[in-house]
Amino acid sequence: MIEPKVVKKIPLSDRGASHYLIIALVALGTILLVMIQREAGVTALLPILAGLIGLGTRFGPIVFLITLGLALNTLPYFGSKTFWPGLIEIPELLLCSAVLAYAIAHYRFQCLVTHIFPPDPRRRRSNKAKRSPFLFLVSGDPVMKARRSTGLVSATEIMWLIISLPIFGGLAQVIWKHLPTEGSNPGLQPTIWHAVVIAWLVGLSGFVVAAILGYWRFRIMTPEEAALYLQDTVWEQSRREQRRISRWVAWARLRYRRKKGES
Amino acid sequence: MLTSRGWWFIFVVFALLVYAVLGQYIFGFFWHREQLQLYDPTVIAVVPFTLLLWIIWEWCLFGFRTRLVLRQLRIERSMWDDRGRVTTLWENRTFQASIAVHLPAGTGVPYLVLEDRLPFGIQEVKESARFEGALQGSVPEEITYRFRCPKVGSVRFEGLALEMADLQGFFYFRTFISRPSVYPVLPVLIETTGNAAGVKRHNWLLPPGIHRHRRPGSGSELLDLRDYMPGDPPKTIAWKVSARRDRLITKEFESEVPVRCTLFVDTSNSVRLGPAGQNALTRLVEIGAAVAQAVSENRDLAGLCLFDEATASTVRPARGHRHMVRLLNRLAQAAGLAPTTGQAELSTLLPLGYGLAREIYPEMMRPDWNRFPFWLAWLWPASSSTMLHPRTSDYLYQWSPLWLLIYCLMAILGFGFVVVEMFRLVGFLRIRPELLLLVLTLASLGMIIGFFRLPAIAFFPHKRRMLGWRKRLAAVLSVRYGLAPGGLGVLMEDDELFSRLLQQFLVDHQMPFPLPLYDRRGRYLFAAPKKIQVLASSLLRSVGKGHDNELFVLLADLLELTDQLDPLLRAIKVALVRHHRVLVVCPWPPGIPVPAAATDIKARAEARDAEKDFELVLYQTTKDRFHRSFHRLRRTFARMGVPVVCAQSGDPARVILERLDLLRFLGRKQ
Repeated sequence: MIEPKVVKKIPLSDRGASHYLIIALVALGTILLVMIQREAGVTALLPILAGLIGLGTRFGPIVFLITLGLALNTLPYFGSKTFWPGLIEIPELLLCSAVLAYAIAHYRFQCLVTHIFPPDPRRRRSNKAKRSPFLFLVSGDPVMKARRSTGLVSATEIMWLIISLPIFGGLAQVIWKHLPTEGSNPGLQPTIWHAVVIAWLVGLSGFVVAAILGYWRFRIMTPEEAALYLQDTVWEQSRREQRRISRWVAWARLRYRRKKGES
Repeated sequence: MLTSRGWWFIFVVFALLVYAVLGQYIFGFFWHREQLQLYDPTVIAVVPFTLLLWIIWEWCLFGFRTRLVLRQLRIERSMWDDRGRVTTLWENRTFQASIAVHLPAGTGVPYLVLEDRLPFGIQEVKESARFEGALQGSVPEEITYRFRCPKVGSVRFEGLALEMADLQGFFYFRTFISRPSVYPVLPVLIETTGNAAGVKRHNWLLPPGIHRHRRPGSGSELLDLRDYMPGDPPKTIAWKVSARRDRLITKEFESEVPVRCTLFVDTSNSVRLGPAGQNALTRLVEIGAAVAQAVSENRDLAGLCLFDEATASTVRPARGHRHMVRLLNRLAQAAGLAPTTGQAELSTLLPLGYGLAREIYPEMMRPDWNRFPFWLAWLWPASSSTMLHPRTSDYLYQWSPLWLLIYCLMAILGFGFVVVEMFRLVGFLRIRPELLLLVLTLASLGMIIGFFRLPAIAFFPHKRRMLGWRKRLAAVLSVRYGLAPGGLGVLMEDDELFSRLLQQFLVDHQMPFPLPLYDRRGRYLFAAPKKIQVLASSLLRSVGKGHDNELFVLLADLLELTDQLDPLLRAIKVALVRHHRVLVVCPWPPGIPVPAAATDIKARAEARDAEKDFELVLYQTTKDRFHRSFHRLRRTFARMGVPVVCAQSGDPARVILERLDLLRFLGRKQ
């Protein structure tokens, strides 16, 4: 494993980090506007507050999403209001894109200020100078974390982020609205049938993609890897016989050597 | 591949989706029917569905990049010094490594970290051997850093360690791009003028009638006078003598036949012991390289014979730059050798080998390709009958299925006993049935967890883990060293073969590892007595093919073999009878003072003073033993007129060159 580079604390004014902070704040603003338009009242402020507080924590989007889910279901306006009858509804599109933007920006920001690779508890930074007398209460020296350098944040990745927002928001709407709710329904509630169809779709697509990637992985094996795989298969199918023969041979050799006094 | 951050995110997204789908049932408890009719899950569902679609896309993209794009990553390594690109490195000099990394056009990775895995002992001088950032197919990246090689031998650069993540930190992938490249590290070129025997210590004017070489040649020293024969060059006519004798007399000059020097370098296990770069072999190689260079500079011929317990490889004496580089390369290869023994403890080597294999061959250690069912370590444990040195725990572990059976029976009995006693207690206390059910459920749950957890902790966890590691490592070794398909099964059972291959694996990857010096009976494992016969045979072969005035330098560790020198002594006698010269340079173990009378006296005094200090006494005893061996060796060879020089004391290269010079001047009597 690569040793993480020790870097100083990233200030929020850092250029790379501030890009994502701004995107997250703009996304929260957009969500607030959509909620106000939906006449959500004071509850519109709940997800915004959760999002603002969550910006500084690791679990920001999780708290934010839960709060948003609750806020969207508040009475009396929990229903969907159609402002743009058609394939895609703009307020929903804005809401989805903003939520996605907030989640992406938050996690990318976290990668810049905390860690991008999962911390390895085996790698710890010795911190003898700041050793606490209550060290026995904590797990030991701090774990080394690998951050992403802020200088690597490029305009291209921001551009792709912004482009992808409406694409995923629109795609989600189109798929959701065009999923069959009646066809082949064995009598379940439409929403539940909807969920079942989506689960099948996601599961099947995942299975197909995994199968294709797995097959391709076999295709591009190196000769050593292929030999190892075949040898492992042989061993798995004949390990009892192999064990019996090899054990006798090893025992005989050892006995011969002991007789000779070599070991 | 999915990090905890990713798992949490997916979990929340799915929870929101479920919440959206089942919302009407949840809110049905609180709201009126009219309000519920307005409920439409579209808004609440589309938000997490957007996130779900996005993360699935990111997952596919990441899988595509790790499985397909990274496989096409190409790296090209080159080494540079101040003058340009090089293919060989030199000891204690700084070089620049340059690694070009590129992907095929049209592909790219948004974030990855690449780091060159530096060989053991290499010192990084400047810059870091890592790259961090995006890698685009159209833009090759380069990693450059400077390093220094502190020891002679060879360095093996395995390749690049790679870590990759998506920009959100949801997916993580680690692998190793294996592109091994080996560079010889040659001993540094010495100032040959410093080593040449230029200091005149004695008057080497030869006695009358003795010449270096009897054959006439084109040298500058006068050998003889003879009558002029037609065809002799006029410039060789000795005019004064001709005038005196009244006939033409021609001068004959000595032949400048070069002196040959053959170095016999011991590369057996006995000299390989010790830290790389500081062991006896390194010292022998340094001496050999210095002598070879000095001899070559004097236009003499240098030969080399590398021998160990089994084989010897010889390079016939020759001269010239190419020959010199060849000798240095052979010496550098020899310096990189590491000791091995079949008696090594597997429990020490296995973690090292497993860690190395996981780092360098992550694909071959994948659990789905290199499988080891967890129950195999429980039901089919390793047998103690095939172990070199089984311990009590090994004897116990081989009966692991029996212990497991006993444990299961006892657990069932215990469980039944507890339940019966509990019912009795409940009947006695008259507890309510609901409470009884709760207590029973909790107790059963605790016992079931304990039933599975206890053997996992108590039943040889270390041995089971080691067995799994051994299987995975055996599969890699079997493929790497080209064993037959049944090789994996053999390596699982044969401790000695597995140990030898594992040591070979560690040596090939230049990973240092600890070895036992003595076996269970206290016998030294690295004396290598068979090398005496090999050395004697090589010496006789060289004598058989030798010419006049050769010097044979035996750079061999004979300290542990003073009682087994007969074949070598016979061979040396043959060499001396054929008017060759022989010199023995004996390597000296690091940390032991070189033999000298004064230190001996001092050491004995120290030993008397510190009799209670066990370590010091042990050290003194070892030192005394080595000194005694050295003096015995010296005495044995002195009877034949063969000097023995300690490799650590003074400058053995200079001594060898002086011998060579002596040989050049003295020659044979007419």
